[in-house]
Amino acid sequence: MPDQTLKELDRTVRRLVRGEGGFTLDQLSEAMAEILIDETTLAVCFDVHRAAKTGEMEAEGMDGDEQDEFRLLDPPAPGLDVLGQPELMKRPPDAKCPVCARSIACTRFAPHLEKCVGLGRNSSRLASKRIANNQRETNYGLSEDEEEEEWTGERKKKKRDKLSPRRNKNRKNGGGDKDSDTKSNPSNPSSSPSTPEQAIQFEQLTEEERKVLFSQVCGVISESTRHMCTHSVRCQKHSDTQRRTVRTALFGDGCDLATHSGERLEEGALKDSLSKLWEKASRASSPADSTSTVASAGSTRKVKGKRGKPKRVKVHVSQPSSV
Amino acid sequence: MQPKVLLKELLRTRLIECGWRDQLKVQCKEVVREKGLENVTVDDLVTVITPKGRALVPDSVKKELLQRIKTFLAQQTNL
Repeated sequence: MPDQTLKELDRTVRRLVRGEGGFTLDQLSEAMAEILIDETTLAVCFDVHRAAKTGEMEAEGMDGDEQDEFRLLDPPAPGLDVLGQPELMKRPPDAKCPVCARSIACTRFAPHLEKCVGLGRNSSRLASKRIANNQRETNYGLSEDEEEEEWTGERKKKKRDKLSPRRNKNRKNGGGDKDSDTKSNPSNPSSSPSTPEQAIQFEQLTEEERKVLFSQVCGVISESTRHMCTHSVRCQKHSDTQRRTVRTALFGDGCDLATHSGERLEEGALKDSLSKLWEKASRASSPADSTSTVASAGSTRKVKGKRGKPKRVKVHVSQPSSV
Repeated sequence: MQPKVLLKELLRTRLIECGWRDQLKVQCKEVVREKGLENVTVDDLVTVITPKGRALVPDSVKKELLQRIKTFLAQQTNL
């Protein structure tokens, strides 16, 4: 067929060249344009036919329109996305744990499996902790101190962050005894108590050391929490008057604070309760020490408070102070 | 290069640009689906597709093509 049209064109051109009229330029160019278009069309047909016969079409799936699955919905129906699937329907499908036979969300499956199977680092830590706790319970029996020692035991096992600001602050406050706990920071043996050992052996500080302590920290005993403030001497929460009060109560001296006119606490009683509580606190932190037991109704509260804020010292003020 | 070849190349380019070739391919696939992939012949395709091909050429392309042909022919016949 292409040959024919070309022949026709040829004939037409020859006729024109020979001078036979009847063909306008337009007609000629039309004819030529048509020929060219036909040739291009044929090229397309041949390509498609070749693809069909050589298996290209089958391979690429070109022979039919892809209707059902992959046609894009435009615009999508409300509640469906472009592919026709419902949005947010099946979020992570649940997997069934081979150990405990529970169905767990896929995203939470790996951690659950770690705990369940018991082979990983964390799960063995957990297990040994549980064992230790059980042992501790049976060891200490029915002593009165059982509760607090349990508490402190747990506290001890808590992770100690060496970089936490609390620890560094404790180091700044100056120290007391180094206790026997192996976890305590070895780099500062002399002075720094680590976090649970913040309950420094107040008793064992000499008069001088106590003064040193008070010159470093604010020391004001807060009414609400019964804590001694361990912020700096210039801490804004408490006034100089308050600081003076506490110092006077304990030492009967000025300690370079402004002159005060507040009440004097009863030194003896305050000192007594202070020392008792220091004792208690220090003992609580290292159960290996055996000091006198102070069993009182307030012990639970104190210990609980201690747990929440291990760096604070619990001071039980028996009478209203000018704090 | 021969003028005919040049013209043809130009036409091809234009038709591809305007999507004519793709439209035509779709038509071809229709034919193939009708006749069956194994049984389709060149003749089938050509018979069906040629008139469609002519119809689908956009006017702008056709005009340009005609213009060029006229120019070419005018040069030729002036010799």
